[in-house]
Amino acid sequence: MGKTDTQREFRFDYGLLLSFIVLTVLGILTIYSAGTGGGTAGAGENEYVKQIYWAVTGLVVFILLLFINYQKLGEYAVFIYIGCLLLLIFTLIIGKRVRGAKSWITLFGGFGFQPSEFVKIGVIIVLARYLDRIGEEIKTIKHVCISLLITLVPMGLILLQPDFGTALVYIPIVLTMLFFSGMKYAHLISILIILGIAIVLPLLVTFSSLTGSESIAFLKTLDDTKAVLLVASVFGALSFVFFVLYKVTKKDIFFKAMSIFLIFFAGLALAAVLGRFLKSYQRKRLIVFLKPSIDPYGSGYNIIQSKIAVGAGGLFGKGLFGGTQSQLGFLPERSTDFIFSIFAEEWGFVGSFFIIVLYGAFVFRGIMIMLGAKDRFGSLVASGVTGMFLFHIIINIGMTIGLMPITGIPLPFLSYGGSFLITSMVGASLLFNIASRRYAR
Amino acid sequence: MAVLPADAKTKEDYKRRIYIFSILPVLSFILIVVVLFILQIVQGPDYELRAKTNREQFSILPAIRGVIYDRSEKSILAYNRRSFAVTVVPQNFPKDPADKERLVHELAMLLDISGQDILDSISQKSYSKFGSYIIKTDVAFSDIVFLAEHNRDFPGVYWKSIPLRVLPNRDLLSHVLGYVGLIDERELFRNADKGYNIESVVGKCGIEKMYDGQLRGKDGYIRRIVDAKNQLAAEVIDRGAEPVPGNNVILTIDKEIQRIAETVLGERTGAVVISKPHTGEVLAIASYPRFDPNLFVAKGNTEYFKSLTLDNRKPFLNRAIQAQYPAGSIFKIVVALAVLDSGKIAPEKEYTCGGGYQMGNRFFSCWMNHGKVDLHDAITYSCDSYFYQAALALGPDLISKYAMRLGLGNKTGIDLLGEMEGIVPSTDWKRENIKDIWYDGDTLNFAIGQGYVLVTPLQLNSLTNLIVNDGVMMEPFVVKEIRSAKSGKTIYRRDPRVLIDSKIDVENIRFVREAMRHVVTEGTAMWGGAVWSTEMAGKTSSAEISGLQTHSWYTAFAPYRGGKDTSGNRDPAGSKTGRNDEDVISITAIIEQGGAGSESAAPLVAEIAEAIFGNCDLETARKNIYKKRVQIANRRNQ
Repeated sequence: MGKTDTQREFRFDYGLLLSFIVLTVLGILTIYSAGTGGGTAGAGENEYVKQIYWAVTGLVVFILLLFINYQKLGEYAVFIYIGCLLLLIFTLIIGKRVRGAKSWITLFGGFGFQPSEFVKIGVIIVLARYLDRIGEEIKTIKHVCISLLITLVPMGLILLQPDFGTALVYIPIVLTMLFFSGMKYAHLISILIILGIAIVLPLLVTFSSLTGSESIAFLKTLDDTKAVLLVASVFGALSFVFFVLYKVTKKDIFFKAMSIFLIFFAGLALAAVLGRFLKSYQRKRLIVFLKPSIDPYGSGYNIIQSKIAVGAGGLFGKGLFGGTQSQLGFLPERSTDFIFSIFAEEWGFVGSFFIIVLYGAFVFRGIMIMLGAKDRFGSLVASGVTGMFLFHIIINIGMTIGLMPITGIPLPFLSYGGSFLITSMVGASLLFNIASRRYAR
Repeated sequence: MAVLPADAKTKEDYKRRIYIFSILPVLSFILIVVVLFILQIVQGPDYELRAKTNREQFSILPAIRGVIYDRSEKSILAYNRRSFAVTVVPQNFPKDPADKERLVHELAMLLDISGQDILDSISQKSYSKFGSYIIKTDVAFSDIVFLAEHNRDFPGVYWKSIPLRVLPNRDLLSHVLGYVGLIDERELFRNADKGYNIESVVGKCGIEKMYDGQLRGKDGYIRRIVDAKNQLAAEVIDRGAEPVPGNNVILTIDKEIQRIAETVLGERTGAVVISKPHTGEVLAIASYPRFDPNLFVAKGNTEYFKSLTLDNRKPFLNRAIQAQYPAGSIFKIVVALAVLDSGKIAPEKEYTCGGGYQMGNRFFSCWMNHGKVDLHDAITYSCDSYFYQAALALGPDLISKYAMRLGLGNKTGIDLLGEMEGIVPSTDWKRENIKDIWYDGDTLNFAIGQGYVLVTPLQLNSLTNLIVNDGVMMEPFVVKEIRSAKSGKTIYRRDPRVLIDSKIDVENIRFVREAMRHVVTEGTAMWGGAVWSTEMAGKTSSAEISGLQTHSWYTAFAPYRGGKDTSGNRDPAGSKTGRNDEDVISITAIIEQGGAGSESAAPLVAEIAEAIFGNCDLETARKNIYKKRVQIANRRNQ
C-alpha cells in the first residue's frame, strides 16, 4: 500500500473525535471539581491528575490502534480470548481487593488496572469473529448458545471476583451483537423473558419486604429456592413431555408448547440460582431505586443524595466548584459512579442536556458506522462497541436520576478510572478504524 | 471473509434491525432528558432546598432574657445564669438502630432522664430546620466534661451554654412572676412567625408570659456550612445575627412588702393584695400555696412539677385574681353607696334589728341583736338586719347596677393573665343563668354579699381604693416600666389610668370612709384590726360557704385622714387640693375557711400594716399591736 492509499484509508470522523474529546475534558474538569472539596470532603485531590495521564495514555493507544487494520484483530481472536481468560484468572489469584471485589491487578510501581474493563473489548472482538464466521448459522439455537457461552465464561470469572455490576453489563453487549448478527427474534425474546424472570423474581421478594407491605404467602414461596426449583422442574418435565410428543407427532404446536415451558423452566432455574447468589444487601441496592425513602441512610442514601445534587442544579447549575452536594461530600463515589450528578449540579439542565446530546451524537455515529462498515466483522465489532457505550450511558445516568438500580457501572469518558477510560478510548478507536477503512479495498 | 451483506434480503433485515435497535437509544435519551427536566426545572427549587438543609446547620445564640426588678430597682426578682444544655442532632446519630438505641440509653443514664424523654424531644418538633434539639438544660459541669472526653462514644450529642432563669427569692411572688420553659410544639406552631424557634425559652404564665415579647429579646444565630460528616466545611462562619438581650421589666411590687405579706399569710390558703389607691400600683400580691419555679425550670426535672399539678389545693392558682369568693359583708359598702347615692333611704333612717329579720315565714338572722341602727352603725357593726331591709327597699337590680358601677362583675384589667370577673347577679342574670325567678330571699342574701355574688380579692381591693380615692378607681397594674437592657433607656412607662369614675358624690364616699374608720375604732375590727403606728379604716367579712367554716375577709386602708382634706372637688390624684394621698395603701386579705373576718384576716392585715407603717420587723409589729390592744382594753374598762 502506498502512502496516498493510507491517506485515503483514513477518513477521519472529526465530529466523533470532538465529541469524545470534549466529554473527556469535561470529565477531567468535573473530577477536579469533585476533588476540591475542603477538608474531609475531598476524597482524591489528585484524581484529576491521574485522569489526565490516563486520558493522554488513552489517546496514544487510540492513535496507535488506528494504524492496525481492525480486520487483523479478528484473525487473532483465539489468542485474544485465551489472553482475556488468563488475565481474569490471574486477577482472581493475585488481584487486589477493592471495595469487596478482587478486581484489580497491581503492576510494579503501584500502577493498577481492572482487567474486567479491557476484557469487554476482547469479548466484543472474539464474538464478532465467531458471529462473522458462522454467518446465517446464528439462526440455530445451537450457535446462540455457543455465543452466549463465549460470553458467560469471562462473565462467570468476573462474577467470582465478585463484581456483579461489571459482569451484568456483558449481557446487553452480547445481546446487541447477537441481534445484529441476525439471530431469530423468537430467540432474543425468549432470552429476554428468561432474564426478566430471573432478575425480577428474587428482587420482588426483597422489595416487598423492604416496603413493609404484607408479604403474601405467594411471595414468600418465591424466596424459597427449593420451592422455585420445584416449580421449575415441573415446567422442565412438561417441556420434556412436549418434546417427546413433538418428536413422535412432528406437530408444530407441541414444539411451541415445549419452547414456552422451556423458557419458564430456564427463567425459574436461573432465578433460583440468582436468588442463592445475591446477598440481601446486593438485592437491596438493586431494588431500592424504586423507593429510596424506605432506607434513606442505608441503601437509599446514594440515590437520594444524587437526585438532590441533580435537582439542585436547576436550569444553569451552580457553576464549577459551586455544587455543595459534591463539595461537601454528601454524594459518595462522586468522581466515579456519580460523576454525572456532580456535573448536573454544577452545570444544570443546560449542561446535562449538552452531555446527553454529545452521547446521543456518539451513539448515533456508532450506529452509522455499523451500517456503513465494509465487512460483517467490522459491523459486528461496531455494534458491540456501540452497545457497550449505550448501555453504560443508560445504566449510569439512569442510576444517578433514579431510573436504574445502583450497579457501579462507570460513565464513558467522564467517570474517573483509568481502566475504563482507556477501554473507552480503545472502543472509540475501533469505531474510527472501522469508519475510516470503509472505502479501503 | 464474508462480505457484507451477502444478499439483498439479508441487507434489508440488517437495516430493519438497525431501525429497531435505534428505538432503544432514542427512547432512553428522551426519557433521561424528560426526567432531568422534571428534576432540575420542575422540582429544582425543592431539591435546592434539600441541598440547603443538607449543608446548612444553624446554631442558635440564645438571647439573654430581661431581668425583672421590684419597684426599688434594687431587688432582682428574676435573672439568668449561664448553664449547660445538652443537645442532640439526630441526623448524626448512628445509623444502625441497635447502636442508636444503645446511645440513647447511655445518654439517658448520664443525664438522669429516661430514654423516652430523649426520643420524645426528638420526635416532638418534627420540622426543626436547626436539626438540633435540647434534651436537658442545667446539666452539671462534670457531666459536660465527661461528654467532652468521650465525644467519640456519643455521636450526634453536643452541648451549649444557655442562660437559665433564676428566681433568687425562691417562691416569692411566684404567681405574679410566673415561670419559663422550653417552647412546646403548640406554642411554636402558633408563634412560628414571631421569631420563636425550637430552642426558645418562653414564659409559661405570669409576667414571664404576659411580657414575654419584651423579656425574651431576639435570639441570634450562627450559620455554619457543614459537610456530610457534619464537620465544619468552610472557615466562613456566618454570624447571621447577634442576639439582642431582652428588656428589663420593673414591677410596682415592693419586694419587702411582698415578703411581709407572704410571711404573715404563712401556710394559710388564701390571698393578700396590697396596692396604692392613688395610682393603682400593686405593691404585693400573695397567694398560698405557692411554688418555686427554680425547682422545675430546668428540663428533665419533672417530679416536683408533677406533685404541684396533682396538689388539690391548686398551687398554680393565683388566688388574688383567679379565685372567686362570696364577698360577704364587704359587699355592704356597695349597698351603703346605693342607699346614699340613690337617695331612696335617708342615711339617718333607722331599721330595727331583732337579731335578724322576719320575712314571711322565714327568719334571716343577724350575727347579733343590734337594736335600732342607722346606716353608719350598720356598716360599723356590720348589721345584717339593716341591709336586709334597705335592700328590700332598693330592689335587687338597683344594687346590681351599683355593684357593676363599682367595678364588681368585671375584670379590673390588671396586667396579669387569667383574671376572673366574678359574678354580680340581677333578676335578669338569674333568669338566664339559674333559669329561675328572683325571690325576696335572694335580695336578702345579695344585701350581705352572699348567694350568687362572687368577687376576687383584687376586685375588693380596688373597691377599697375607690373609697379612698373619692369614688375613682385606678386600674391596678404590676409593670411600672420597661427598659432596654443595653442602653438603659425607658421603652415603656406605665401611667396610672382611671378605670372607673363612679360619679358618686364625694360626701357619700366620705360617709362610707368614716364608717369604715369606725369599724376599726369601735366596730367589728376593733380587736382584730388594731394597729399601733397608723390609723386604719376597714371592713370585715365572713363569707359563708355551705357546710364549711366561713372565709375570713378583711379589706382596709391606712393612714385614715377622714374627710377633712377633701374640698368637695373630684380630684383623685390630689394635685389640685394639695391633699396628699400618695402614702395611702390598701390591704385586702382572704383566708379560706379562716372563720370570721375579725378572727384571722383582720389581724393579718393589721400585722402587715403595722410592719409597713411602723417600719419594723414582724415581731415588733406584733408587740406594737399587743400594746394597742392593751390600750383599747384599758379604755373600754374605764
